[in-house]
Order: sequence, then C-alpha cells, then structure tokens
Amino acid sequence: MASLFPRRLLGRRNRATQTERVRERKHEGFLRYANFRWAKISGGLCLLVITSYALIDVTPRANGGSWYGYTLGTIGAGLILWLTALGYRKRKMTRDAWSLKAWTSAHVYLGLSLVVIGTWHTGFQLGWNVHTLAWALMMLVILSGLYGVIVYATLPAALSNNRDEMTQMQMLEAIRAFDRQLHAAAQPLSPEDTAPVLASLDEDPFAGGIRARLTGRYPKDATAAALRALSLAHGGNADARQKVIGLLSQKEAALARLRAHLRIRAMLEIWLYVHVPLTFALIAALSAHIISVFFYW
Amino acid sequence: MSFILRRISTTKTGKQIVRDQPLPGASITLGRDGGNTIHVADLAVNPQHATISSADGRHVRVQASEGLGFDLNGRTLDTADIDSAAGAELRFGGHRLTIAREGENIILLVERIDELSQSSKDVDEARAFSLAAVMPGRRMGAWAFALVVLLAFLVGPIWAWHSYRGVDVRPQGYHADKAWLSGPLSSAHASLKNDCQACHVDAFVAVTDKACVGCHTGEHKAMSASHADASTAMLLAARHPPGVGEKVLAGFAKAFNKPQGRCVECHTEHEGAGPMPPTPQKFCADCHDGMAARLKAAGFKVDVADAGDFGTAHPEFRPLVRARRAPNRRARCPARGHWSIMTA
Repeated sequence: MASLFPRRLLGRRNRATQTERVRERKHEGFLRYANFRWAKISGGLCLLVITSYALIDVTPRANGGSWYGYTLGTIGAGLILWLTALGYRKRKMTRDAWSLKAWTSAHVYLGLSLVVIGTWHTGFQLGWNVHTLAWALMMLVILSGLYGVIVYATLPAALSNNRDEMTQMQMLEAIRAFDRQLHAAAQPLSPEDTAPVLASLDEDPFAGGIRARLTGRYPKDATAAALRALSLAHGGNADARQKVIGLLSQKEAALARLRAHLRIRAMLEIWLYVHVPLTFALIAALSAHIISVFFYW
Repeated sequence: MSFILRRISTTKTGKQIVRDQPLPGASITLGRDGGNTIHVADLAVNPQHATISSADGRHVRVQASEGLGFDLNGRTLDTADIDSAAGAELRFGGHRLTIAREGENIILLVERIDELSQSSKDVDEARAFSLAAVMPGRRMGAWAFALVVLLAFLVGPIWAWHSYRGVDVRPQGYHADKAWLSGPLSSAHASLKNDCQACHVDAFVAVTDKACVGCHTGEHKAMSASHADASTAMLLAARHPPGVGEKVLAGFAKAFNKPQGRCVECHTEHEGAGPMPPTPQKFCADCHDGMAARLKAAGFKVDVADAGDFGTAHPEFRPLVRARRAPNRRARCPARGHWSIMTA
C-alpha cells in the first residue's frame, strides 16, 4: 500500500484520523467543531462586510446594482448553492478533513453569515418585488435553520428523559400489552361498559394530525373518555370494571409517554418541513431575481 | 344432521391444525358470554349475540338477539336465512363465521380476522414515529413551491414582456413584470411604472440611449454645446481613471454586455420615488479634473482647461467674443463651455 500512496499523504491522513478520534472522545458536536473554526470565519466575514460597507461610498446610494452590491450578491448566491449542497453531501459520510461534521459546522455558521451578506447586498432597499421575495425567503430559511440548531442542542435531553431507557418500539409494545390485558379483563362487562373500552382498543396510538403531534394534546382521546365513562358507571360486574379502570389508567400513562415522545420528535423534525421546501422556493426566486436583472438590464 | 364447530389453529411453523367439535341440538347460541355454545372472546360481540338454528338440516337461520346484528355480504342484518350448500360468510365484531356444508353436516368455522386492537397492527417504525406520517413529503413541497415561484416571478413577467413587444403604450392594469421593479421610479418617470418596456425594450439588452431620446430631445444641447457635439468616444475618454470598484463594475458590465457611456450611467433610475438623483458637482470634476491630458492621450483636440472644483480649482473666467450676436454681457466658462451671466 505504501508504494501506492506517497508517505506524506498517508501521514496527513493518519494525523487527521487521530485528531478525529480525540474529538470523538470529547464528543465535540458540530457547533464547537475545531474550536469554533467556522464561527470565527463566518464572524470575520460579517465584520468585513459591515466595515467595508461603511467605508465604501457607493453613489448615488447603496444598492444591489453597484459594484459592491454585485460582489456581495455573487458571494451570497454562491453560498446559497453551496449550503443547499449539504442535502446531497449528508448522504455521503466521510471521516477525514471534510467530514460531515465539519461540513455541517460550516453550513450552520456560513448560513448565519448570509443574514449579513444578503441584507447588506440589498443596500437596505426592500419593496414588494421578486428581489425582496428572494431576500425574505432566504431569511425564513435561515430562521428555520436557527430553530433547528436550537432544538438539536436542547431537545435530545428531553427526548432521553421521556424515554426512560425504553426504545420507541418498547413504548408501543407496552400499549399493545395493556390492550391485550384490557381485552381479556373487559370480557365480563356489560355491552354499555364494553363500548368505551372497545373505542380505546380501536384507537390508533399514532392518530392525530400535525397539530396534535406538535401540541401533544389529544382532546378526543378514547382511552381518557373510557376512563371517565367507566368511573361514572354503575351496576354490572363492579370488580371486573375496577380492574379495567386500573388497566385503562395504566394504558393512559403509556400513551402519554408515547405522545410526549412523538411531540418532541415532531418539534425536532418540523423545521425541516420549512427549511427544505423554502430553500427550493428560494433558489427559484433567486434565479428569477438574477435572470430579471439581466433580462431588463 | 348436526352442527360442527370447526377451529383452525396455526402452529409456530405455520402448520394448520383443524379441530372439529360436534354441537348438540338444532339451535345453538353465539356470544361473548361463557355460557354460549359458541363462545367468542371479542369485546365487539355481545354476551348473547345470536342464535343459529336449522329446521331442515340444510337451511340455516341466523337471528341476532341484542340489536347489534351481524354483517353479511356488506350489509348489517338482524336475521338471515342461509342455504348451507351455497355457503356464506358472516361477520361478528372482529370475527368471521363461515357456514358451509360437508356431507350431512353444517360446518361453522369461527376465526378472528381483525387485530385485537389498533395498536397491535404492524407499523413501519421509521415512518410511524416520525412527522413524515402526518405531513406531505418535503420533496413534493420543495417542487411545488419552486414551481409556483418560477411561474409567478419568471414565466409570468417574461410572458408580459413577450405579449407587449412592439406595443407603444401598454394598457392599464397589472402586468406581471411589475414584480421585477427593483425600486420606485423617479417622479418624472412615475407614469411609466406599469410599462417596463418603455425603457427595457429588448431582453438581455441594456437600456439604450434610443429609449431616452424618444422623449428627451436636446437636453444636453440646451445645457452645453460642447457636450452635445462631443462623440460618445470623447465623453468616455474624458472620464476620470476608474477606481478599484469601478474596475469591478466595468468587469461585470463587460462580461454581461452592458455598453459604457449611456445616458443611464449618470441619470440613474429606480433609486426611489421623488426627483431623480441629481448628477452632483463631483460628476463634473470626475471628467474635468485632469481631463486635458486624458483627451490628448486619446487623440482628441483639447480646447478646455482642467477644472477640479468650482471654488478652488477652476480656471479664471474670461470674456468671449462671439462674431454673430451677444444679447447679454456673458462670460464663458472655459472648462464647461456653458454661459454664465457676469454679475460684476
């Protein structure tokens, strides 16, 4: 092998792998990757843009069509396309210098620098037109990304607490077990008492739309309704009913855990439903913005 | 004749074991209660759900007793008469009762066909626990948004431009290319805000002087004979040497086919409502400061002195003798060739 690759190249690669191992041990996430390298680069870039904007006197007034505006616009458009490439890049994982972690770190910090590059490119001239649409879409994409970074940094702990060392499938399995026990325990009940239990069994634990997923509120929950109905019921087999009530409240607790899990996962995922589609809308608006400038040159 | 209750159980290896149990009597009961002849442990089945009887050993009458009924061929019924030779499938809650005939006997096969509960159903873990289960796909959203934006802000405006090619004045109303307006027009041009093509005539061709002189005739001539007579090449040669920024801008202009020396370079538009930004004094000095040398270098005849500033770097005014007619006492600015009334 050594004859196939120059020794120098192999040495560099080994060093890179070693540094990576140290990072793995210290669990260095994409935010603090390489001692905030990309945060520094991005911050420097923003500072450079802001100072040069203040120092350069563009006549008659600052706008995207000045030489300074073109420069920022070209950098911004290039950056947007590169940032979009993360979607492609993340499907190909590598471990060396341009690891996915490094790439993600650069994506986050350079993406944030676009707030300055894009806004200063406009020369603070905004209006109801395709140019401002592109800017607004860019800002929405950045804001949704910022939300994503914040939830990735804070929510996994909540997810882990809620799981209590159970896997997702174990959470579901717990509900299935209560369902089986409920089905057996409810056999002696009268038809009036079995109806709410049956409704609870027929309820899909994953039912509920995006609203229920995000709020964790399920006002039409059949298990809670069954619990209420059976607690108020009289007559019939009271012992069997008490047993069913006990099982229903246990099922309700298991459901609550699963739903809390679904809620945290929804909050971890929802931003991508804004970030990704709006990125493509942004690229479309950006194309229209650039083409329109040259079309009516 | 007798009823035979058939139960089929499946072993772990998938082998089916069939057990037949003869039921006594011509009338049997079916329900969730343990006292029934056929005991169905299904919460969706009533404790005493139905009676199954046969008078002639061939035709079977099924009669629901507590109002819940049963399903036969997609209908919910309370009573049904079935020819066991033809056979039938009835549904009680989550169970299926198949009636068939074998020899002299009526076979009743009872099987659970529904899952015990919704949660018992198989789930695709990756999908069920994720938002993907309740949201439309991101990919579809991405394409839909991109398509809408392209249609509204690229195809629409180009279509508007295409529809009014060669039309002198556009009709009133909304034109899609208005979305391309990069900034409000100056008050002088405000009436053109719906008619981009008044100035932007051809696609990908920078606004030409032709579009300006269609309305503006002789503006420069009224102001200055020298500027009116000067060729574009001379005006270009007169300009001050470009700075770094202007070199960048010239690079963009050259790369994207934007000719130099057009009216709109000094008379800029889309800079905001209100009067068009004046061409400031600095613009005079931009050319006239050190212009003589540049013009000479470009091979033009030079008959004006340099002027860097009206106050501090301007040649002395001197009398001008005109052969034809001089109605007022005037002095000629040697730099700009314009007339100024002498106050002294």
